[in-house]
Amino acid sequence: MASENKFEIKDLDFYYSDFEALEAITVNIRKNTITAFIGPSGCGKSTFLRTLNRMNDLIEGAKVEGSVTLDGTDIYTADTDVVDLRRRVGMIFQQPNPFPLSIYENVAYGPRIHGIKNKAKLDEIVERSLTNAALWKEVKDKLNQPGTDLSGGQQQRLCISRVLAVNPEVLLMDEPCSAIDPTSTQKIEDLMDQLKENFTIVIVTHNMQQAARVSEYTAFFLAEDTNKPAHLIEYDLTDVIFTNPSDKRTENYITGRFG
Amino acid sequence: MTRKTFHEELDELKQDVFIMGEKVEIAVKKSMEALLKPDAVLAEEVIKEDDVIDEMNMSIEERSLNMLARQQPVAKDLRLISSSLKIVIHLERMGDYAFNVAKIARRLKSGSEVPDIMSIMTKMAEETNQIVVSSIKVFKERDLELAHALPDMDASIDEDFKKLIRELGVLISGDEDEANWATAMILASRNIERLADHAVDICEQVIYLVTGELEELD
Repeated sequence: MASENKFEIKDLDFYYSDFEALEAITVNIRKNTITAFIGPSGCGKSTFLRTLNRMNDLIEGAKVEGSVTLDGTDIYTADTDVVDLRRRVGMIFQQPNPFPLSIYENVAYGPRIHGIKNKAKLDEIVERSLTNAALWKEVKDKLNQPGTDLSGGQQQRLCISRVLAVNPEVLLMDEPCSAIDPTSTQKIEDLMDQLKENFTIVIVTHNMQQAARVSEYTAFFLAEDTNKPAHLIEYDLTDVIFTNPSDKRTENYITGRFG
Repeated sequence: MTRKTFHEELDELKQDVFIMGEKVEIAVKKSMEALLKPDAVLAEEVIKEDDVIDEMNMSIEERSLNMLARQQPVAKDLRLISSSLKIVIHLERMGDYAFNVAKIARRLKSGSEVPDIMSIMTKMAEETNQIVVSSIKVFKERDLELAHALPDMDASIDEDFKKLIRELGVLISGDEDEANWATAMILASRNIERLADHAVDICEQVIYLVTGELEELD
């Protein structure tokens, strides 16, 4: 089944004030797949991830050139509803960051903001979101306890539930497993595999084995020098990248010959 | 995050496959010579040396599996380990065929040789030495052009084998010495023909190692 593109990025340049961090990025992100971004520290992969839901807008001096379309619509026009964009394109961070609220309220927070007040409706969203994040069974009897009391791996799944509660289409994951233990990592990877049926997932990871395990497509980013902009060096099926990459720089990076 | 030790280990593995290849090359050469002369002493050497080849096969396999488990190699590192694992199986089989030829040579009695058949046997032995040396060279030098020349070399050996079977078949019904000699030559040539097939298989692995493409050579 040839999957359609969720995002199409053309000739994207990104600047932090005068510094050009990304240059001439052209790539498509396919719907209902997991795409991994890999590359050494400072290669711009997280910066690029954040251009997909305009998270970089919050940084002073940030400037984007080129185009990013989501389902064919440019997300960088003046009339883009950024709040709605970030609902459609949710984000999971490296450090689990539950609100200082109960487990229930963590998940209900988003839907409430979007105007849902009906208790039964909220209950249903909370249960569905926690179930979809593979956390429901572990927390269903302690929904009123603080989210911060959960283990690191559970907190990360709580954050995923919180994103799922507002019906997103895309999940951007920025190093989602680097602060949690291997068992929880396994749970999140299994979860990603289930979630891709209904969502498009983009993950930034330093763990190349993780990229190889979970993704269908892999993009390798590299800045030739710390004061030079990063480029997309190679984008291909993950199987190809990890067995027979076409660019020497990709090969050297993934085999640990530099970086 | 460079993985120096792992890459050194990988270089050592590659070197050991080369060394194993050289040992097989020598075993094949000696077994051919032992058969054609015949020379029981030389045959005995091949028979004894086979243990060394078998041990190298096991050691390379064990280290390859360890590296797969512990280093999760990718790209060309993965292809090197995967192709080495397969190449040593072919080398080990080639060593076994040389061993079989040596065992035949060890109990072979001279006196019943038929000159026409001996000349085909000699040609086949020379071509077999050549194809074995070439297959090791293909691996050492990643010479894909040479790799693609091996199927023709193998076809010529197959032709020799067919010719030998036709001519030797007639001798089977001759006197006892002649029949014994003919039987030994049939068995030996069968082993040699199979030996050469593995040289082609090695080339397929080298093509994968270099290009990442799985290709059937024939």
